[in-house]
Amino acid sequence: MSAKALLFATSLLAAAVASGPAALAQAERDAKISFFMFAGSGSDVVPKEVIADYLKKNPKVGIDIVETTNAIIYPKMVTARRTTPDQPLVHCGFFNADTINRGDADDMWETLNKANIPNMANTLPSYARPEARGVPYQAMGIGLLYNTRVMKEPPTSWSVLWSPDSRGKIVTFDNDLRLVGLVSKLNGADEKNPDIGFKLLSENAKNFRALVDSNDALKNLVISGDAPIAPWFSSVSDVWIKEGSPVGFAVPKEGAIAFPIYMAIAKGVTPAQRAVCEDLLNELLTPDRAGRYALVTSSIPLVTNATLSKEQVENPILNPAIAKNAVQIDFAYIATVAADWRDRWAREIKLKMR
Amino acid sequence: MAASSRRDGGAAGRAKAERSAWVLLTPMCLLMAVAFILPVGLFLLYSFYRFRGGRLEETFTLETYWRFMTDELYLITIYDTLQLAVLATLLCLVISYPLAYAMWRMRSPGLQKLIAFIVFAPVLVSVVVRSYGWTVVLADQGPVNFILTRLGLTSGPVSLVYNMTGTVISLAHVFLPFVVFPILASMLRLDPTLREAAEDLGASWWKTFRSITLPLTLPGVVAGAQICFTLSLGSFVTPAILGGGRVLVLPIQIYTATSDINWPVAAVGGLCLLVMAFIAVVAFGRLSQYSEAV
Amino acid sequence: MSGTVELVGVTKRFGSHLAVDAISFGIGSGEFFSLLGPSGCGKSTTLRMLSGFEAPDEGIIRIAGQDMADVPPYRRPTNIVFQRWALFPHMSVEANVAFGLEAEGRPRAEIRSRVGDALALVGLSGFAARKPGQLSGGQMQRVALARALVKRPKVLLLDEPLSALDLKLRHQMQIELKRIQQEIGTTFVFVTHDQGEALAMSDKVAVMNAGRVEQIASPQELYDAPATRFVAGFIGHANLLPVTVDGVANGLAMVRLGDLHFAAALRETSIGDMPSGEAILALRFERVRIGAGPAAEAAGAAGAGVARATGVVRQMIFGGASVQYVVGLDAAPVEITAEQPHGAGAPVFAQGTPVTLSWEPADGRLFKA
Repeated sequence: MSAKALLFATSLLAAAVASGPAALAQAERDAKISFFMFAGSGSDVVPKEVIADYLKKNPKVGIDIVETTNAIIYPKMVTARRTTPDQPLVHCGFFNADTINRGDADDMWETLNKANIPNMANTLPSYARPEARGVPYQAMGIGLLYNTRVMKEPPTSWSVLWSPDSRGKIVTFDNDLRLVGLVSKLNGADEKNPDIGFKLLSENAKNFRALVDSNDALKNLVISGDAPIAPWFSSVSDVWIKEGSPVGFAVPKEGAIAFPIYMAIAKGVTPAQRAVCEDLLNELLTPDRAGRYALVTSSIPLVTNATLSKEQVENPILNPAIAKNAVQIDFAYIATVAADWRDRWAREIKLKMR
Repeated sequence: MAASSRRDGGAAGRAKAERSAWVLLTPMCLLMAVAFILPVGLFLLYSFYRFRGGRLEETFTLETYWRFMTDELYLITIYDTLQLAVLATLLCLVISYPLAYAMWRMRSPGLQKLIAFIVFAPVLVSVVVRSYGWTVVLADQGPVNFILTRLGLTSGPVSLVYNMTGTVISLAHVFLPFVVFPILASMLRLDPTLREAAEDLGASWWKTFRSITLPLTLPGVVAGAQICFTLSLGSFVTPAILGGGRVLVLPIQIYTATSDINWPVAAVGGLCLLVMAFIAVVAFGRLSQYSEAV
Repeated sequence: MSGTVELVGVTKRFGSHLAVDAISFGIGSGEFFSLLGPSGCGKSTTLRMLSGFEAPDEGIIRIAGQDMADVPPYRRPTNIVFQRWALFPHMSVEANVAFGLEAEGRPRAEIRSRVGDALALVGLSGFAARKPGQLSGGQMQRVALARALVKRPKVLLLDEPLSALDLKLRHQMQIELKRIQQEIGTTFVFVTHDQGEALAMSDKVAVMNAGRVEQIASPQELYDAPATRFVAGFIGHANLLPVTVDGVANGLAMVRLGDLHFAAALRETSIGDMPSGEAILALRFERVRIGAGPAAEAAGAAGAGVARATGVVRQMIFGGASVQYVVGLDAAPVEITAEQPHGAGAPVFAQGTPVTLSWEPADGRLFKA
């Protein structure tokens, strides 16, 4: 065969091979799925755009959007997995660090196929999931939200949370187990030896003005000044600052806590449903979509080639550097001992608050 | 046919009537069996299992029951639940009785309707919205503390919310219409000539109230208190939003256990609530009988 | 002085309705005085004004010589016995009766002894521990009475207290009430719509109609000499016949009813009050005698003699002690009812029997039409 012919044949073959999966990918998608996304704070904007575009291209697909919190949907997903394993409640979507790790224990996630989701390769390896049971997407840094009117200067260290000078000044979510892990780590221990963390928080339990269950309750307490300091997400803080609330966000000198969100596909999907999910995940991982999601939710993209706007580069809260220098908490381990820690939280902290 | 039914005194007819009564009851019995008896039975089953290391172990054990009776956390939870119900009921009664009395004695029907609307309107708004409203009103920087400090009653803001105090206040507010209206109903049933007789015999307002009005409206008070108490036992939203983590009641305990998929604790907690509510119903039944005999 | 009541020009309006129209009268101390009239005549309103639960729009009320304007019920020397007794259902009989004395702040011993006396007065001595729910109607009535009397009011007001009792019991209680009133000597003001009751018990009766007082007199005087057509019709049973007055002769009025001519009484009042032309003749049922068949004497004698009329029995109403006959007259297009005692010897006339009615001229009283 001539070189030209060989080249032509090879390129034909390559094209055939390349277009094979692509052709397969663009073959008629026909499935109905439920897609989970977080409610509010811009978390729905980009996913809904992606879904709308996808439905135009794939008219036979049905996508039911489930828009709420992980805390609400996850127990229901587990129940569905136990009672109707072939009909998962949610087929794919976003899951935060707590949930994705709990899902490992409850056997909830499919291993993702890198061939079908090529953009997975562009995510930060330090956040990768074991056995690719999900892909990292965005992260928020957890730092210190504070009231700019009450606090003359921004807090500089995490230790303000357990300092005896902070009586009645702190608000956080009830069962904030991350906090226990953090305090332990910052005081010479770690997640597997949380006693020091519990001890310091217990002795200073009266620092907590209240333990709340919703973003709005926390927001009210910080903005009114009743509890001027809270460990909180960079992204949500940024949204509130832009709204004009008298709050600021400080990255403590020890570093922010990295709080990633992942995307995952639930076990029990049919091949057709899986294909749709893989398409959606892959699309969300493209640089433009990832960058835009980060901008709209004020998060930090864990997609390395995400398209960043000028503001995203310049704003320290939105800068990917936070993710790189963050304190890593072993959420996976905490998930396994969460029930015991919650029990200790009730006994050692809530009882001492009264 | 007619002759024979007359001979046995219509017993055949009565038996038929009884049978049809049972037929009519069947749908309700089935519903009760499926929606209540079966789940409670399942509950009972789960209460004997063990939860360890985040997993459910289906082994028979009385461990959870034992913990509920001896563990400080669970005992405090039971105590908090009762304390909340008792305090909320008392506060609600203290506010409702004068309110009902004012509505009863009001001469202008327009004003009466206005107060009725104010009392009843909160029911139109969801309990979540109301609870958030109270967090604003009772906040350290909120209007109540503002008035208290301005009037010089306190030296600084008093902690009125994110604790038992705020929860009790909000819960009493939630149940106000359920207590005001039974009391008002019993007042309206009072024979007006009784008060005239008392006045004619020279009784002061206080004597008339103490000797006539109060004893004769007691059944309404008991009815209202029963509603408030048993509903307070099961309240979840109010202590969750207003408790700030300091109010540890059984419904929150059960919710947390369920989120952890810790069925044994959730089941025993649920049964505990069931028993408490049952005792409350029986106790109030007795109280009601007593109040009507007075 | 002690138990007198005086009303001067008392008026009461409810919205546009005039309930009591400028009434004036007096009640003597120790009298059993009744306010009698049909529903809506204003008697209950008058009683409520005496008690202090209503205030008059105009006029003065004096009790025991004192002006009662702005004096609330609990400061008046009066007490009420309500129509439905208003006993406190949750208190014992003793507690009910003691209530007023406790309100005064009397010492325990005094209360106990006075309550005992009051219960003895009404004949309920053994009933102190019972509750109203365990009492009969008559007993409840007596407790209500004791409760009011124990306060030793100067005037006792009773608002139709016997109307909820059955007939036999009512008659018994009427006698009881009269006895008690005479024993303690308190002024009783008694409201009723039952004229038989008022006549049986009262020293004086005020007959009221549409807010005005028609006549105040002793029962006998009301019965025998009703002052107005209303009183004549309300007290006892009377035939009210439309007649024409032709003139006066021999001290009697000459009247014409259809083809009948007969005489009727001239009242003691001046001739000027005497109606002329169209008038109403009031003739009591029991004053009309009935006999069988056409008259033995000449019918319809125009003189001063007994008035006579023939007719046919349309209805016979047997009332036990007496029998009433509704008779359609031959000579006039009216019916006259005659009443006669029932017993051995008295003939009974069946429906359709021709009869003759007769009466004395003095029994026919004339009123303006």
